[in-house]
Amino acid sequence: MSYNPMDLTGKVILVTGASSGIGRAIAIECSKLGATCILTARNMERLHETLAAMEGNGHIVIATDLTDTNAVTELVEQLPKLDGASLNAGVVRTILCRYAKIEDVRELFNIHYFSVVGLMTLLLKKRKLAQGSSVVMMSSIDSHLHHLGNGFYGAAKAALSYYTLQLSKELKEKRIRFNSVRPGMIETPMTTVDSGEDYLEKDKRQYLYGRYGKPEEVAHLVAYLLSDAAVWITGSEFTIDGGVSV
Amino acid sequence: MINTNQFLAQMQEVLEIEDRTLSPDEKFRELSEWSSLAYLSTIAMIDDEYNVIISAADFRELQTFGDIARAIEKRKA
Repeated sequence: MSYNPMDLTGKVILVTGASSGIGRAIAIECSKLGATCILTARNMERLHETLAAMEGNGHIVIATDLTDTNAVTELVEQLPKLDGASLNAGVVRTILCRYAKIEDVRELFNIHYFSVVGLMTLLLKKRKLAQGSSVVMMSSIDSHLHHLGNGFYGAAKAALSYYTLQLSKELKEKRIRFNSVRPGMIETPMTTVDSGEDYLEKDKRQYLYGRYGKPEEVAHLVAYLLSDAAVWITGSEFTIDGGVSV
Repeated sequence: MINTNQFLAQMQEVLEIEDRTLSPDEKFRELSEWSSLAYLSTIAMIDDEYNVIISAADFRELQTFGDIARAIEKRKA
């Protein structure tokens, strides 16, 4: 038997935003470490693409729009007891203060903050999180470093980070761990579209290794936080950004 | 038809140029006022005023203020 403190064998893990990018990489990584995953996102077809790339059996895909309260209620009812959850559903939208439309700002907060709060409330009320389980929120370096046009996205992520701290204190008796991960720019369908002009090429040079991150690189950190190797880690935020904030 | 003079006035406001007027043949990237903020502001202003979204890939092809006006025109039609 090989030694692996990050082993996830026997754990049931919910992964949201599992249809692409970081969420997809996390689902794949968790499956390689032995976990059984429940994958959710809006697009069933792309969820099945993720599923096809995973190892092991017994994974479940459930199409859900996490901003739809009724759909979230239905999702939670179908869930078994969870040993972990990795919440990644997200979008980016460039909004300048001078041209901000309140409905666009509200949409960002709906996706990155309110939908997570809604889901967590139900998971807790319905006792879907097992004693000693681990929840990892996907935040962003934008939660504390401002990038032009991404301020409202960052504000929603900052709110999410704070919520993670709240949860870790409130659920300490159940030993449920809550942490957040703050990636820098990762090469995913969400981040590499439409950022304008030669912005991306210039931006890459700010990273110490001159490149953006890969989804798998974030997935390794998340898998660690979901594993029992991280049993003493709660209420923490982890920056993973190729040194861009140095 | 979009009003070219009105569009140029809107661009002037985006770029905060007060001491002169812009012409349709001017290459906007050569102006000292052009920046990533100016780019994002231009895209947002066009969305706001004309309800038109120009993608980054399409915008990259545009050279002059007239090109931008024509791109808006094309998408409104």
